[in-house]
Amino acid sequence: MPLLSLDSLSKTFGGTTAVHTVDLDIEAGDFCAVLGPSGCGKSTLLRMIAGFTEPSTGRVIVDGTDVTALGPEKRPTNMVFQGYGLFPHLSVAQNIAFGLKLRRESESAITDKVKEALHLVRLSEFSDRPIGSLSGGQQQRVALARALIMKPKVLLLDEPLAALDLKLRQAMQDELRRIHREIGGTFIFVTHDQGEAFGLASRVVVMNHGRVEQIGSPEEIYLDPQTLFVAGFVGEATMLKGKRKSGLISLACGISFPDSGPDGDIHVLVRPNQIVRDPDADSLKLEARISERVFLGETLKVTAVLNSGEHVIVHDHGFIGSDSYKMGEVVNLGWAPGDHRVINEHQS
Amino acid sequence: MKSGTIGWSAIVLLLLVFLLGPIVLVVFFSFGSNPLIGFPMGQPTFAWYRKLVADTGFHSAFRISAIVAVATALFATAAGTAAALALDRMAPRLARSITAMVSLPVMLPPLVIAIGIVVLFVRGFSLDLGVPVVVLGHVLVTQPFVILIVLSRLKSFDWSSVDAARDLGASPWQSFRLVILPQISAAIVGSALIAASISLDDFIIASFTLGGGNTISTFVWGKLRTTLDPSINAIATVLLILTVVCAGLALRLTRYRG
Amino acid sequence: MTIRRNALLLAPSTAVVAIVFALPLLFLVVISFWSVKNFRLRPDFTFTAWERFATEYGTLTLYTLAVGLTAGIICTAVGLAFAYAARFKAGRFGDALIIAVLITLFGGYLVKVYAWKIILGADGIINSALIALGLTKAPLDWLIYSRGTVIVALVNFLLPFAILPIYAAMRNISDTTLEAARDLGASPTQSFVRVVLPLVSTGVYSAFAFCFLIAAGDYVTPMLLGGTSGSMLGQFVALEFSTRFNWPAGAAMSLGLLASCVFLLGVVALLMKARAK
Repeated sequence: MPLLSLDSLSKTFGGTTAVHTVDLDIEAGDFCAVLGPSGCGKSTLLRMIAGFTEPSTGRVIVDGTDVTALGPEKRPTNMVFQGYGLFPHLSVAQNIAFGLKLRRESESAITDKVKEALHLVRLSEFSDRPIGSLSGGQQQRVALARALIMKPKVLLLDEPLAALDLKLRQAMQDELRRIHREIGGTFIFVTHDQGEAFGLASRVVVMNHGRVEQIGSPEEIYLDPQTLFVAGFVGEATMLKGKRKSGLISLACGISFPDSGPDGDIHVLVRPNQIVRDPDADSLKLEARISERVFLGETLKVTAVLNSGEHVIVHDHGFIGSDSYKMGEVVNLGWAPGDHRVINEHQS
Repeated sequence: MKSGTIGWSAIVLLLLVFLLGPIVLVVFFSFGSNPLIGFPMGQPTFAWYRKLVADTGFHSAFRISAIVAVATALFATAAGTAAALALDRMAPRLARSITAMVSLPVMLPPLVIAIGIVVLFVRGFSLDLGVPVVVLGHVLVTQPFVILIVLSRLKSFDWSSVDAARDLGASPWQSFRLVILPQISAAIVGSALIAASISLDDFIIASFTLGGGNTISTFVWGKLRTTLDPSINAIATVLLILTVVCAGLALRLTRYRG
Repeated sequence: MTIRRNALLLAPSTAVVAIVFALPLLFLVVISFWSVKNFRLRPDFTFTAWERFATEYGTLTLYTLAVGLTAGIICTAVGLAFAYAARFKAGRFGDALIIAVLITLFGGYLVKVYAWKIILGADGIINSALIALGLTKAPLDWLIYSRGTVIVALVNFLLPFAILPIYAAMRNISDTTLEAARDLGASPTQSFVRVVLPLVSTGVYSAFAFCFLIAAGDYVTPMLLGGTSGSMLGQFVALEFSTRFNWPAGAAMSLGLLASCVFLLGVVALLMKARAK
């Protein structure tokens, strides 16, 4: 039995639908990311799980119990808020102890648990500091400890790293991974950052316009996107338009190859690291003119234009010197036949 | 550029003298022995304060003023804070018009408000005037300040801390008491002090609605109409210290600047 | 549910406004049509009180409005200058200036009016100082009991109420906005007229409205400092209510004053709107 089940959950505000009917099961121990652009309904979904937003239809089931009718204070979930929502009038330790005090646990139990939680988030020396004296990263860890000390069945994190700068964001990712490893709970977090989702989660739920587009492991999402949106939102990609008719795909840029499936408009997607220069004979081959080259440090990102006007993006890790890929140069590019994905138009 | 700065400094300095001068003179002369309140001001003395301490009329005026100020502060703060909590969560347009309506009494001459109250309570309701009526009048003119101060505090309030409290098991009432109240307490106490200081300072509403007895202000008025003796300076100084201390504390608490 | 919560939270303050403000004003309107016989108020429908207001107090009302207007205009102009200096010229002293103003705001209404009496009175501070210094033999009696004295005292009392809203509006203007204006070729005067003034016009108007209304409705200042030449309508309203016991007359006079004030404020608002275009 899954630990958390969302059963035909949806939310309509006034006339607009923020979340279309969602069915989702999350297993105990999952580290799950809900990924999507801002306004896609991911925060609303999270707030429905936490109990802050009443769903228009459907049920939230945690560990076999229907919690849909319960307020946030009665649910076995706890949340790390975007912007943290710390209590500025309380010290670090008082912030963390807040929920246990409301549960009327004994003073000694609270003291022990707070100590443990502070140790877990590496803030032991900060126990009596006021919240205002902490840095953003430290505040983030207080918020995490404050939620974790409640031993929630599901920990919810709303854009947990959005307020931090790049360096801290990476450090906090490591921290979150370590904490999840150490305590082994079920985490669900919401983010608009693909790197964050892939870096942390074992399962990713991609949302757009209030709909779940795809659920899968990061590898599945990246290499086998089911919809055009997922393909475009997650990572960089070359997308080529075409048609499929009686098992043969013909692309607008001029090449064709056999592919089984229904007739209709399709897109062919190829990831930048799968495209090579001067490919083998059995590859799918294209001729293109280099229109842009950007040196990214570890790779050289090259954009080339096809005669159809479409762009091809190449990440070349093995480039040597500055004379490779000259602007305006016409090159042969291609990829192995199994390396592309075909997405049917009607799916997106 | 330089001469411009000097010009501005001169204007500001003159205005400060104009604003503060009269008050400073009153305080100054409350310590002078010349009973005519003029130059030469005579020996420094506490005689006028001693006279005040011995004056039973002043005692009762002080007591009534204190009761009215404290009651006004309590009721205005309760009503104003409740209103601010509602207004903060309402549609901005509706909130603005309600705020304007509640603030209107502050804009009108207190004389009109005072006689209105007298007419309605005495003739309309057949009620006696007295301390409760004064307090009602003072709540009317002080609650807009409470609303203004508490509302401006709520504008920068982090509501996710309330969500967090609920998430950690607090009931709506618990999250108000444990999370909202402690965070806005400075603004609430500050606005209570402002209300008290406005109440202490009021003369017009009190003089019409008190019926019998005196507040400090109406006591001063009574003296003004009979004799001009420097004990008035002493009372004025006491009143000044009370209102300025209340207001100063309030400003520190709320960090309110205009 | 939130609507019920909000209504409940707003109930106390709106009840106070209803009982101590709205109802009394309505009742004042009603009473202004009543009559008085042998010092007793009688329900009636007569225009006696209003006629009396128009005939006996017409000139005094106009004069009262003129005093209020003068005080309001002086307060607004001086308040603008002070607020501008505190916001843009005083640098780190700006906060201290505003705190000084806030202190005078709570510095006592009656105390201030009274202070002018002891400053300007026949044997007051200025006259006694002049005599002590040998600059004059007899006290200068024109210092007190005139329209000028009333206006000086009113401005002294009301100035903080003009400075603060204007300053609050100016605080919202960023330095960058003014720098941009200067960068685009505006002189200091031009940037004041074309940038600062339009941005603070609401604050300026509310400062003016407040000072004008309070000044026009005041009766304590003219009573103590106005003498016979400086009296204002408010004094007679108070008189009708206290010693003369003619409440309908008092009601009609205060309502008439209020109505003419609101009318004037409307005219000022229209003028400001027309100028802004």
